[in-house]
Amino acid sequence: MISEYLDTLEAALRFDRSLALRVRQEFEDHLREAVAADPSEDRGQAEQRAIANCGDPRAIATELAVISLARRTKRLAVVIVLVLVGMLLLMRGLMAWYAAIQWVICDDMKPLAATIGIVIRYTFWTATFIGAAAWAYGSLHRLPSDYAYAQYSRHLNRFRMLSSIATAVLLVCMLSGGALAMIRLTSTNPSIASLIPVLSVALELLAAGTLVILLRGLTRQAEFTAGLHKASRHQ
Amino acid sequence: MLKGHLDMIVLAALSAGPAHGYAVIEEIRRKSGQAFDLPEGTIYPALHRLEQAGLLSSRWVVAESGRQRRVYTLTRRGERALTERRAIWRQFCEAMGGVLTSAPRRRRPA
Repeated sequence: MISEYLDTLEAALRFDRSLALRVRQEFEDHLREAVAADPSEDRGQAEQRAIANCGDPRAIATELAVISLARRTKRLAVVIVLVLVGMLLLMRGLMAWYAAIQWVICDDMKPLAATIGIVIRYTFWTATFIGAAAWAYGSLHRLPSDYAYAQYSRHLNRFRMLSSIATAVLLVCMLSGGALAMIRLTSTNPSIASLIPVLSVALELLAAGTLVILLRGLTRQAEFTAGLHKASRHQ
Repeated sequence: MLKGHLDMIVLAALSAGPAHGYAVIEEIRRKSGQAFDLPEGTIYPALHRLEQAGLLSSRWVVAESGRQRRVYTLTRRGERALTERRAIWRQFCEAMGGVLTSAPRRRRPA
């Protein structure tokens, strides 16, 4: 009986393996202790009472899922800021390096490079503005003490919208940066120095990929939690 | 109503010393004279949330039964938060007491 309860609880939290295992162990200890403390000699009845006293495992899982979502939200908010700061440093470093080695773009490509440069500047600052808003909104929000999913889901949806827009704009900025790097590479003969812009583009893509993966994970967990919440309400 | 004050209740229960979930529930029951009989499962989301907020810390220990047990401890931040909440609660009780115990005024005749 206890095992079934624990299996339901663990399955409901399967989106976060370490949380599911921790909660299972905590509840197992709790239920076994409650059974041991029960004055009844009928073990089956004692187990039934202990489970009934614990409450619906899906409702408990929903509350824990909201807490886990809040943790993920804060982590993503920090990653967005780190990626933006990293991008800024990378772009500034790259510009300084281009100037130091006097890497020029061939004349016929200069108008296109200038246009891409404008796109990069505007998309980067737009992404920074929206990303900062997402960070502020995601990290400064306090989790409601009653773990109300309906209330939290509104906050979560707004955060997801802000961070999705910031990520999308940042991707445009990175792709433009990649195009500019390609123009620079076609303006000169391949050398060891060519590796620098290639590495820079690779780093940017890695950062963008990390953001997309985290955002996708958050979305999937939010959908899973919504389903869990629905199931616990219909019970 | 009780759920809205759960954080404060849990912090107060842990002010006596480190404890695991079951012991926290027992402490709440004992201190409230069995008046607060929460669904036991609700204590764990509260413990996790308070830990995430930095008001509690936790670690695994091995219980006498040989089972793994998660023990929660109040952090310094948690102690400060409890002190603040106690002060707010006292003010609230005094104000509410004043409102509820004040003598009813007689209506003036029209």
